[in-house]
Amino acid sequence: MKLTNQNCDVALVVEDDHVLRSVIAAQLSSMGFEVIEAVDYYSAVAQLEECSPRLVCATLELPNESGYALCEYLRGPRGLVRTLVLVMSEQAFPTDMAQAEEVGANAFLQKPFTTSRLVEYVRALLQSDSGSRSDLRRLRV
Amino acid sequence: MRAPINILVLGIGPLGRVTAKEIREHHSDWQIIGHLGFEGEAANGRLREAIVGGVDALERVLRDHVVDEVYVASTAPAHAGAIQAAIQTCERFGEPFALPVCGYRIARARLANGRVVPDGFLHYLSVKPHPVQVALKRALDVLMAALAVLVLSPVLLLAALAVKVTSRGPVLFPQQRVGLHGRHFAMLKFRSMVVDAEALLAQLAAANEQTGPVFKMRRDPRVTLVGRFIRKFSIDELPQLVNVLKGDMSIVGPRPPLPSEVARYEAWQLRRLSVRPGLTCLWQVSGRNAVGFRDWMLLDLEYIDHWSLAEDLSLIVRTVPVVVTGRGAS
Repeated sequence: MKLTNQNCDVALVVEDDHVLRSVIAAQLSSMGFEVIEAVDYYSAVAQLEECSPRLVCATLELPNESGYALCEYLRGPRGLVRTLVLVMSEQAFPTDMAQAEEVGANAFLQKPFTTSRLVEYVRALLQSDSGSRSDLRRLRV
Repeated sequence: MRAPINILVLGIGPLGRVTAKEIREHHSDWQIIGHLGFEGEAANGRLREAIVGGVDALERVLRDHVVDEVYVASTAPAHAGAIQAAIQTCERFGEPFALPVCGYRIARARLANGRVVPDGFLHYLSVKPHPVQVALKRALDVLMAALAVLVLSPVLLLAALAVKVTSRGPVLFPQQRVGLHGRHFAMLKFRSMVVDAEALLAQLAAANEQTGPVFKMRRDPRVTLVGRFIRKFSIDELPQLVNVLKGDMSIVGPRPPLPSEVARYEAWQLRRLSVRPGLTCLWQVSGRNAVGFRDWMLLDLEYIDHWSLAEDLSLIVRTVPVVVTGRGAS
């Protein structure tokens, strides 16, 4: 599924677990996003070449390159400084959260999580984003 | 009500902020007293607690505030020298500290034994970590203090009566002392001096018989007649059993110093405050005022460094003859 309409609120979900990926996708769809999906780093990079999502929900434990690497690509070579990035991981030590922030993630959601927690995080991101789109460093949850 | 656990966070960058947030979320009874920033760090305006200085102010903050644990919240190689210096300061002060478990991005790999670091920090203590013995010590403190109050109640009542009827003023003399990690508390004594004794101290400074920042004098003219007697047999100290029950003190531990004494402590001497103060310690069974200040401090550190429950029990037993014979009392 590819999407080229850059005016819509597109959300990219990068998750290798297909059950979790479809749950997140369904939830974001119901929040009004046009959802595109990727199972690993490379398919996510391919998707990002086609569009500039408003939101990326990416797991850190991807099967090939990590979610950290995806953040670095997204903020660096791909130059998406305004895209909101929510990373997800089972391990959530303060050092992991700080590392995620260092590579440009806006929020860190520990797995497992409930859909209401996902909604809460995404809403908080969108809210802080509408308050100050120009200063990404202030968006962290 | 238990006193809050006071935390100091070193770091104002992402890790400093996330660490403070995690502590707030997981420990509602802990209190973050502030952050110290590493050189070149920017706070990005999202810190909840105040930045009280740079990491080079650690020693001053540990002297001036009650800090139960220092969280080192940076893994930046550029901060390695400052982190090493902070660790040294914490060790010198006997201050518990926590180091982040890892400074690298780890996406898939997991700790083989995650239970070792449930919160992502390695926690260090400058006293031997004996959780079971420490818990037993507290239980024994409460048990023995309650029993002692019961058994000694006739002595306590007689002493109270004697103090009250023989001189003007209250029965108890609460005095500000310094306890665990610098906490101030009111240490209770039976009043053994005239009411305005504190004011008279300045006039007697020249007659001090103890070295260092402590005042001790054998024939202190401020002591009342009853005071002299209850001091000789340490009866004036018995109200501290209440301090033990309240958790300010233990039965055995370094004697709690006055704030004015602590202000003049050298850094290594502050390590005395890394354990709960007590009614009796090595110094009390070592000839007391015959031991100089420096040796007294060293005896307290010897007690802390080689602590065991058996040593506590032995000290209690060795204190009894010292008290009963009135040996070494001021």
